[in-house]
Amino acid sequence: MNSELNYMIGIMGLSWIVVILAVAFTPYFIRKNISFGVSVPETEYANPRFKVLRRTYSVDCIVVGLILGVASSVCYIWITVETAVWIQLVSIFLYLAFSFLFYFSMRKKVRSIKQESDWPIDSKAVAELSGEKTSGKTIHTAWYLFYLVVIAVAVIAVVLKYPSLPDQIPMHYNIAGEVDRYAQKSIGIFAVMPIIQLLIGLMFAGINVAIRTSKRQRDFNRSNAFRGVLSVTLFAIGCMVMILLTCVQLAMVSFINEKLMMVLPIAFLIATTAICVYLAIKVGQGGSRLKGTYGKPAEAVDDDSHWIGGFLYFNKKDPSVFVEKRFGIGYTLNFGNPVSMLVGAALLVLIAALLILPLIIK
Amino acid sequence: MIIEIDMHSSIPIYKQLKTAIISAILSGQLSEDDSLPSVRQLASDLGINLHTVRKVYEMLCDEGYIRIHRSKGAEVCSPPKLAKEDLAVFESLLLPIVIELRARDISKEKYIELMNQLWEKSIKEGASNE
Repeated sequence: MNSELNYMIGIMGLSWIVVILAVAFTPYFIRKNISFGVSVPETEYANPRFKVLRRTYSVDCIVVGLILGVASSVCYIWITVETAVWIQLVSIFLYLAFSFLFYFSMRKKVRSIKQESDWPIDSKAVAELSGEKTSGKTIHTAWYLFYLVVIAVAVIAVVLKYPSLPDQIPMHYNIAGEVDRYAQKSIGIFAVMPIIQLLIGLMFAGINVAIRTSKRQRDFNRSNAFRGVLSVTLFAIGCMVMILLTCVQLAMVSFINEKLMMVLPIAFLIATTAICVYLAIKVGQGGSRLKGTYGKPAEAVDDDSHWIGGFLYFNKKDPSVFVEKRFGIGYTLNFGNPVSMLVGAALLVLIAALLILPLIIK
Repeated sequence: MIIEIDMHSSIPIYKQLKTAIISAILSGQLSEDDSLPSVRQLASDLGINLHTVRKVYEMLCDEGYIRIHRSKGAEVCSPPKLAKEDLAVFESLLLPIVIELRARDISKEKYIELMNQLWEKSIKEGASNE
């Protein structure tokens, strides 16, 4: 039992480090012409007053994160694992709430600086007028058919092995690789995984379409390049998820060693983290950190009036559904567009389905 | 090439967009057979109504600047020649402006000078939008 404890603390510690890094360093990954959700001239990024704000935010987030992270991870020693997992979840939410508070206090300062400076306000709308580059080399939806192949491998393995399987199927392993939970053999318990895989695959293919149809910023070359990089990365991460889940299924019918199943999730976590760190440092939000033949970054269009709190986009006149996030990497929805509500609802249903399905087999 | 639309201008958005596209064709930044962005993409980038962009594409298609394929989208045509009936349309567009300028006591020389300036400006603007 002691090694399972260490394993859990290890996983949780790793997750905390990832969360803290992502939250604390956000001001450095985003576009330089947006500071805490307020659009500012690109040159102001180097302004010492903004430097201090960014540093203060990062330090505050790291300190609070470390306190919460260590406190909630150490409590495994005294309480049951199940209670501790809940404490972890609550602590992470608490941490995000704290980071929000820090964000808003910094945002207030940036806004007052903006008010007292007379920066030129550019509210012109811009677009690129050449058609061949407009989709920005995102990968074609047909590539996602590969996921079906990965799913099929698991399905075929189950079909082949099913008759020879024992009545009790191992469902859960402890750290030593020993089975600690069994389930009655049935087609149902093997059908859940392919359904989950299909739903996840569908979600990834949907996000790829979202990337392709997203609104581009004035920095068109970078916006296009960003789309391409993100699209390929998404496909790669999706592949890893699919292969991981297929391996879980293969382990259930003992096609692969259960010891391998202890290593694979950690390898997956590390690989995904590495990819995200690469994206944040080398690519940056909207491709703002890309070096090379992209020219100097273009000034942003000042559309602050459409951003509630600097992070929620609400513009009824804008037909865009997916727009670049202002505080973080990736895309957010235009909540002024009714289509976004449908997309948001679909996403919620999907997440609910993914959470409920595994409970059914229990 | 990048185009800009001034959202706070008194000139309607569709007119600005139409002029920007014609100007890009005129200056050679969009040449024959070049494809234009999809209606959805252009409207999304600009943050303007889909119908506005569709209307502009249809107008440009009617006037012979672009052609609209069902599969390939909009493509640039060779610039249309000025037909006699077109000239009549432009005359009727210009006449009210001439009348309004005269009503404000502009001299004929001043008017011709203004026209010359605008002519030069249209050449320069096409070249500066890269």
